[in-house]
Amino acid sequence: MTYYGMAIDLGRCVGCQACAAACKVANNLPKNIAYNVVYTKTDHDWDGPFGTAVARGAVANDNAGGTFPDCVLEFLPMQCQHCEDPSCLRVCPTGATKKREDGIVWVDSNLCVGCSACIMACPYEGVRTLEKERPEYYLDVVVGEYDAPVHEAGIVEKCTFCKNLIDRGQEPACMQLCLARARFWGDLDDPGSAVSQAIEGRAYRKLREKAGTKPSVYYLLPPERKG
Amino acid sequence: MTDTALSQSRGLSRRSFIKGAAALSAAGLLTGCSPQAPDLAKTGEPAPETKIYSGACRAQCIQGCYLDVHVRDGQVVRTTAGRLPEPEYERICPKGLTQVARVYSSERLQYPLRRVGERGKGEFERISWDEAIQEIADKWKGYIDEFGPESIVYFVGSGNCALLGGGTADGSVLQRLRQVTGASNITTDRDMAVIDRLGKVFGYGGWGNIPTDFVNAKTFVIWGANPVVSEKQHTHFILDARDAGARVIDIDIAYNTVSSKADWFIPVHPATDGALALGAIREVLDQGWQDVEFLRSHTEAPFLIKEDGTYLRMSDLGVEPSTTVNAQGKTVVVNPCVVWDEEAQAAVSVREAAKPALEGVTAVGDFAVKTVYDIIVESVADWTVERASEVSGVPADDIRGLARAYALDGPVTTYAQYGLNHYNNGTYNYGPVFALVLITGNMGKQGAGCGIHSVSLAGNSAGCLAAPSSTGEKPQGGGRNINWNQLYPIVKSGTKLGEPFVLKSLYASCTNPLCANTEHLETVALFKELEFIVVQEMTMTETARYADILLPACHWFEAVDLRQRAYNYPYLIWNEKAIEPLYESKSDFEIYKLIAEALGYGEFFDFTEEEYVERWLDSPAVAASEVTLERLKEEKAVRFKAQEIGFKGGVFGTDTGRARFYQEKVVPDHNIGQVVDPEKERTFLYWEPALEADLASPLRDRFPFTVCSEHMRTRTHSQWWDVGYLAEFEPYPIARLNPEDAMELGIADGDKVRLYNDRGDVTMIAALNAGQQRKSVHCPRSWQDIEFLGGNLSDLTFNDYNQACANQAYNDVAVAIEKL
Repeated sequence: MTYYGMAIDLGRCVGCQACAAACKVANNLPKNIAYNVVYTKTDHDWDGPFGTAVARGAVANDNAGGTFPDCVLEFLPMQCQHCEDPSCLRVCPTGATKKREDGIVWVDSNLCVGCSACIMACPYEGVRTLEKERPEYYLDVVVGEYDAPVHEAGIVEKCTFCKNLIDRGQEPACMQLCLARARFWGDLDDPGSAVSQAIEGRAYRKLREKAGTKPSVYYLLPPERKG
Repeated sequence: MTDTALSQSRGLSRRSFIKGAAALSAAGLLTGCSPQAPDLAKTGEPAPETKIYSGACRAQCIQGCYLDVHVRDGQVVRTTAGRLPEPEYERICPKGLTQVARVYSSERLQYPLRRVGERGKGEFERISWDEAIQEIADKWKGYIDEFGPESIVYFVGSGNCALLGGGTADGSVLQRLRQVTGASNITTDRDMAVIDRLGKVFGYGGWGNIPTDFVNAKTFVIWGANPVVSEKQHTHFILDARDAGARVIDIDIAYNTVSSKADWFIPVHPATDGALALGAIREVLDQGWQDVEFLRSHTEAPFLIKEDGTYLRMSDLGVEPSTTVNAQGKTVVVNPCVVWDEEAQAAVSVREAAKPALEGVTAVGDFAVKTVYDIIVESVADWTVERASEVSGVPADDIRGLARAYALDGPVTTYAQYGLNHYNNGTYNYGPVFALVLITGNMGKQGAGCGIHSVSLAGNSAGCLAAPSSTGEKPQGGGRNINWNQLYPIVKSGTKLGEPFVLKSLYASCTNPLCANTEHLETVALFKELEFIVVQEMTMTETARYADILLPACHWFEAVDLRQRAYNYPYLIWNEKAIEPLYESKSDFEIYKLIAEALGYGEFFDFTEEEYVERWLDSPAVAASEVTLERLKEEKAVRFKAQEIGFKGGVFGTDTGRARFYQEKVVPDHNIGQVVDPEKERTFLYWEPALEADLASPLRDRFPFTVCSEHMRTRTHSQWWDVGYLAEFEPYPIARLNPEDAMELGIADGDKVRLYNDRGDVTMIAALNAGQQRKSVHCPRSWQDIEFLGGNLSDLTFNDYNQACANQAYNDVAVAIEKL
């Protein structure tokens, strides 16, 4: 049985934003929608606030915390965690939120009425967008995949795990291409998959597990510094 | 848990200024297209076909990423990383991933334009290609007739690193155009301190080891570089080395992203790296850790210096020089240097010595001498660890620790790129660092490399430039070089070093000097003074706005080309034409040919794109790598044979084959009438402070802060300025300030601040960053003038060069800061 998941190596992520940029273009995302945000984080409290991001109103990315030269600077890429027991699924009144057998959680734009229940129920703030206005785009041409998600006012959008690409044998757009080699994706049920291999033997965290939603994204913890 | 707005605006920038110009670019032209793809599930239409074309990023970030260009219905829709036989070299970044936004940018120039308003205002009228080319030819022919071909000067930029469309690409068609027309040339004088010192210390050849060798290092020192931003595709190789057990040491003026991945961060005061290295050398020598065998066999340390400062040679001992023929077929004189052979207990030719002495030689025959090694010892005599600590701010114990790492925890790879370059004392910082590398023997071995990476394939560039015309005529050769900072004085005075030099016209292709160069206000004055400016561009940049004739060049995906000049991976990339040039734009190649024909030089450009590429491929190195046009067209990305270890085995690229610490003759790389003190240049273990960036500079009383203009993650030089997607990461110019400094000035995160000195000012947004040391500000560069809230970051910088190295010192800047 295939069950998709992702691993992100926090010891390697350098906040380059390639995953975020790839997501924007492949999914033809409008200006105000980002499925994938890379936060700058100035602490090691992985269950705490995600951090700051220009895409979420910060003045700038990449600024360290602490006191020079004893600084803290980490990066946390965030998107839908494609939970095994998603709270969004439980609260959706119309059946628009769906979960596939392979673990992908998605929103059917034909059924979504924009009630925001999923947004309220999700333990991970900011991974969903409900656009009130007609979306605006950077370009006047259509970009991305021909079957990119539909973007309309009044429906909730979030990371689809690029199920359109997965279903034709390709990788999610954010896997294209991590220059730090920090992102891994694949079948968690296959011990030989890239994601299973990446997790093997590594200390990891899943974020906000107390919410009980069993997320499918594994955050591999940075190695100890040699000093 | 609702979403917040993306990329808040922090105040009105002057972008609105160019809305007039937008009417002349592509803004609004494409409106009417639906920004949404049709829902095929609803329409029942079959999935459209997506064709993949080979492409490459051709900006001068050195990464040269091989891209798959996705085209649907004749339109580029997406870019992804192309697949390579070696997956470790597959590469892309946010810039490569958003190329589609450059292709369909609202700032694209659509058709040739003639200036109608004031220079720089961006007021133009549309003209035809015939009119544009005719006007250029008429003007230039007139200048050539009256003042000679050197009255036209080219600024050959790095904005398109390809053979056909390229500027600085080796053997490019633009360079050939200059050779054929005899125009003079602007030496851009960038990044020259590192190149100067690498060349003088190690000699020429491939500096540094191939990135796949990083993993062999036991200690990996990143010295003044933030590769995860400015040389991104090295990132995973460095992390691989760390995860394989290498200790990563990061020496920098700020705690940045790569510092956060390092094992040990060593903060250093701006532009004092040379002092730090001299202190470390002193510690190495005090501890007796120097690599004596390496110094004896692979460096000029045992060479004997006479009282007149020149080396003792065999001719001094009565042995007549002989001659030989070198690899280039030139007859050269052989007159070897003399060393004292400890085994033979005699002064012998370095070529015959079994065990050259490093110390203890005071006279040979009638000559009083000392060794180069003696000079090294003398040079660090005053550089106690304590003094180095005082100057550099690095605690003494950390300097000792660094020395220990270099001497005892090798092999050490020294990843020193351009970070120390951009100061007036750039050469004096690199020299001691490179000396430390040599004294500890960390060069020419697996896991022990140093220097900017030059993985490249030597094509027939000389042949491309010198090839005769189809009627057998030879190109007249390019005109003289003009240092960038002399251009304005020459234009104003009509003289160069007291001799008449009339300069009437400037041709800028693949470049945006108004954005990229120091002392911006002087550049503006220059561009107002010039009589006739031709700019060839993709978008309405600041430089484009100063053009008299503005020629629209197409995007890289709209013409075939050969991507070369990717210095850090061993592939040549064939760029296919993925779509037709948009609007009336033409390829750079076609434009160069049109200009040549109009000037009467058409027979020098009587070749097709592929014929020119084949000419460039006609070289021994290319043949040895079995790269052919056919293979390029078939495979798109072709591996070539690259040097893996720089100066392998300690065989250096100098005339003696040995690395140097000392030069007999001081020859500055430029002559602008400056006075040169040779004592500063004699050894490479000399250090003096930067002019303004140094904490002790007297200027710092009035201007307490120094500004490092760091690379942006989302631009290469000024390219990608028009890409909205990337503004979600870096939306506007910022000044990263130490929080304590900010508090003292009453500045909060997001406040408007003004940075100023006697040369100019700039207004931007403050961003508090604990990664800044006190009194040191980092400002991402590459913004166009209209993106600042006022002034320009480059208004703050100066245009003066080091006495022996023509090098723009972008970061040697002192400013005061005020909250607005």
